[in-house]
Amino acid sequence: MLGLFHRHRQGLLLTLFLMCSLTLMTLGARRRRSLTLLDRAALATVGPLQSLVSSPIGWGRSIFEEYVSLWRVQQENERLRAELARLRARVNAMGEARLRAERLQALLAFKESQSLPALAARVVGWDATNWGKTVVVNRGGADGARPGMPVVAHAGVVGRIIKASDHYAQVLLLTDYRSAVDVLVQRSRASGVFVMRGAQRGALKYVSRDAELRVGDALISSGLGGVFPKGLMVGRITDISPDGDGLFRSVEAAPAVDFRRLEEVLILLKRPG
Amino acid sequence: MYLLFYLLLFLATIVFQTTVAEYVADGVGAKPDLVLLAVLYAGARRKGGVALSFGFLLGLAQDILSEGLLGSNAFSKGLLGYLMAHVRRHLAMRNVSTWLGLGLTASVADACLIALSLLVFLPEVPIPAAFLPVLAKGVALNTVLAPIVFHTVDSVEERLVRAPMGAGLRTPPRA
Repeated sequence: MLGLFHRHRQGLLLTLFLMCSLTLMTLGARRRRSLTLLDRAALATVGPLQSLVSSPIGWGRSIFEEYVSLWRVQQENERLRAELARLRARVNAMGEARLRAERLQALLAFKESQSLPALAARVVGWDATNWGKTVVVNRGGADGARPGMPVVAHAGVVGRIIKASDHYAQVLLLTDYRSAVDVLVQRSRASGVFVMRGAQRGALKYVSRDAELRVGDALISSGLGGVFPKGLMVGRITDISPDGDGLFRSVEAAPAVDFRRLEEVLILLKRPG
Repeated sequence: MYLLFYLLLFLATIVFQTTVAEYVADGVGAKPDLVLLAVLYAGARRKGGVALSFGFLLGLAQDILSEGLLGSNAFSKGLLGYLMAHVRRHLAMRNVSTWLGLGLTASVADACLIALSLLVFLPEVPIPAAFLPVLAKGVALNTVLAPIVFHTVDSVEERLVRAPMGAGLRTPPRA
């Protein structure tokens, strides 16, 4: 028996591998939550390590960006070089603190304007593939975060929580191609669905041909769908094409949030549903 | 010792993939698939069964930490690790051009396998055409990084695992 196993070890291993892969993909496609424990364990294990790695990278990046910006200024204006050098030490020390304070102030102002209780969180990790757009934040079930809760920044909608361990949660971003938000044009109250078509480019779909639209119109969440409360800023119309897609108009829009600069977010502690 | 090294490689790959790789995506528009490169390395250095298991587990971790189809990366990375372990004897593994070719071929195969899994298991969610340039950039990044990752990880394994283990086995010089 053991000899038989040894002779066909490779074949058995391949069969087992194929069976496991197919079972996982079938379960994944049916959106079963039987792997929640595995999700939680992975987030709980990787979250602290991500936090450990991403903090020094963030500092290094800030320093690098400051250096690049100083270099450009030197190129543009030689006369200011001496003064810039004198101020650089001070700017380096205070720049990060000031930017962080500004971001948190904006976030606090936004939090106070919300009727729902909110929880501040820091982005500590990003999606493991190019296929998805998710981030990991340093708040989890122990802090009150639950799957389905909306996540916002001071500028607008960021996404929603899809998984949560005790101290970390994974957020599906608006930039993920599977995300969509039901929106209203703030000025004319025309409705549509906001979807992303790239890193910072989106579109407004299913907008009636007779809807009154202008470039620059603000798009707010309609409250339909049960995830995002009504009135959250989602984006702005950037282009309206005269040609349409059959019954609907072709409208391009940009998200309100700059997803390349996402560092602090707010989790709205709203019951999903 | 080998087990510990591959456990560390596993953790480092996942942590770097979900942190450092994002900064590359900021500048280039796509992130490299360090998981794929780690699996190729395992395939180049270990037997088929080990590479398959390492690829499957690393791909599964990638699936769990992403919102893709659960099991798609596990399937793709496991299969590519297994195939790599079987073709390595025909390749000049120390050659940079070999790794450039491997990075390119494996990245394209990985993208095709995942796209196929999505088409079969999630046909109701179409893959947008705007996604193709991102995939192409990802393939290019993997191609460029493949020789660098191989030589870096190989030299770390050489210093940490192979050299200490071989040190006690050397025969003393003849008198």
